[in-house]
Amino acid sequence: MFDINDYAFDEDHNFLEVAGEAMIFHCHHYLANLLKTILDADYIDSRPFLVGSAADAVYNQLSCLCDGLDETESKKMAEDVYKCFGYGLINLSGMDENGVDLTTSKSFFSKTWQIKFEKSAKPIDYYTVGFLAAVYAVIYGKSLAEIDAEQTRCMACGDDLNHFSIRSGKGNFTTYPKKAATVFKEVPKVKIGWEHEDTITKAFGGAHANFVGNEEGFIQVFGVYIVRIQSDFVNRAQFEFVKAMSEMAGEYGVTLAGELLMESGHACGFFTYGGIMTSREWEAGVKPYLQTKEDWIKGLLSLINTMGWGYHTVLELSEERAVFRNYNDFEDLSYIRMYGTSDYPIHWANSGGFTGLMQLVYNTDIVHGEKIETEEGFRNMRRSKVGYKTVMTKGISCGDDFLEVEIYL
Amino acid sequence: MDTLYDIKPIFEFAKAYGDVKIVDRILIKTLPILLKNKLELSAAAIDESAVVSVPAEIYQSVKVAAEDLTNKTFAG
Repeated sequence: MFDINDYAFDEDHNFLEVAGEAMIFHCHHYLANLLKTILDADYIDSRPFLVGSAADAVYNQLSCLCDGLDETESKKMAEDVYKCFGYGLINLSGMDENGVDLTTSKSFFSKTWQIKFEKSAKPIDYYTVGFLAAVYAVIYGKSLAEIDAEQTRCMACGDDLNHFSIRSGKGNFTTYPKKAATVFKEVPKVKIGWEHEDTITKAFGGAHANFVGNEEGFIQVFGVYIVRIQSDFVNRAQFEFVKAMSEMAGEYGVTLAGELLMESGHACGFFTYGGIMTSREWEAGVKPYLQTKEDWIKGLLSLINTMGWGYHTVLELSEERAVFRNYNDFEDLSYIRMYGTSDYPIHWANSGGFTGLMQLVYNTDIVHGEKIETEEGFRNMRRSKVGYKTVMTKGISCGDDFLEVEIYL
Repeated sequence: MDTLYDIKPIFEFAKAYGDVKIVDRILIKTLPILLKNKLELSAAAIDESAVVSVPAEIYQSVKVAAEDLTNKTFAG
């Protein structure tokens, strides 16, 4: 019923929207790290905004996708979307006017938490809690504010299944006001300035549509698990976390949170880009054009500009120092849709990703095929090399025309 | 005057067993107690200091956070 190929990729803005929601890919390294960072601050009541962020984005999307569909068709649509985007498998046949008790053994969030970390003390699939609340609200005409949604069992805690309960009630997660439409920053772009950019971007254009859930509802590519996720879910989660840290500790809280949010992006950039650079697709489609380490970075940017994260480019590039830009980056567009303007740059994931890329190309021997795939290997490499420093200098939500970040030794 | 305790060895222990940003993770976990004591520590400042002396309740809180995050016992 749901087919990602029905949604055209916006090549002018390196952007993909599905039924009103901007969609991006994130890997399990990023999402598990982000969630752990938020949950480690256990003095912040994060559950309401983690569930609420998911429920809001999914509600908006499913409201469009299910428009005109009957109850059975709407359930099928929601199941298809969940599977296609790589979150796992859900069976909604038991959902009715009274809600649902649902179990599943296929959950991206619970599965990948166990890959990254020790067992969790409490359930961590907040996304699916919000997803199911949104499905219930859309199909049965409920307001999100009158739904009680919870996860009672979780494979990340050692349970054999995830169990979710969705009911009408007083509401037990945060709901949000309607957000603004996406507004792109229409400014001339400084291109990557590499003779093979267009060849690679064209070769990989549309490849994103191949990344759909398998029979288990998972997308495993480049050595990582990825999901196609609503940009506003994941970004609202990090923005609400930073807001809570700011309310608690002012600028100090923002700085502490930012360090770890950037680290999530760093791990993502390192592992996912490393997976791309050691893939068959890279070997066949990109590597023939690569001579120098700088070519490796420009080749990677040319490729990932087909994935919906905005237009990545680089202004200065050497082992010692780089200046990267992103036009219409997903974090800033998301922030502006939901919060308006910001007093400080908020593109932690993008900036961490650029840093991870520098680390990967200059501090490992990936250009000769060396691949670091383990947490231990990642940690040892980081500790044995001089680390890159990252400074977020410009952001669209701050009033600039683009995201800019400086990375240096 | 309260006795002060050096938490630098706890951070060194955590760095040996924890993830790359373990110092920031410990600071996030212990933020309420740091704020209560009007202390704003950073990973960079801790790295640059030979000794980081704090009151007993911060020492204990940092120790618990480090042990929780590394799943190891700090023997120091």
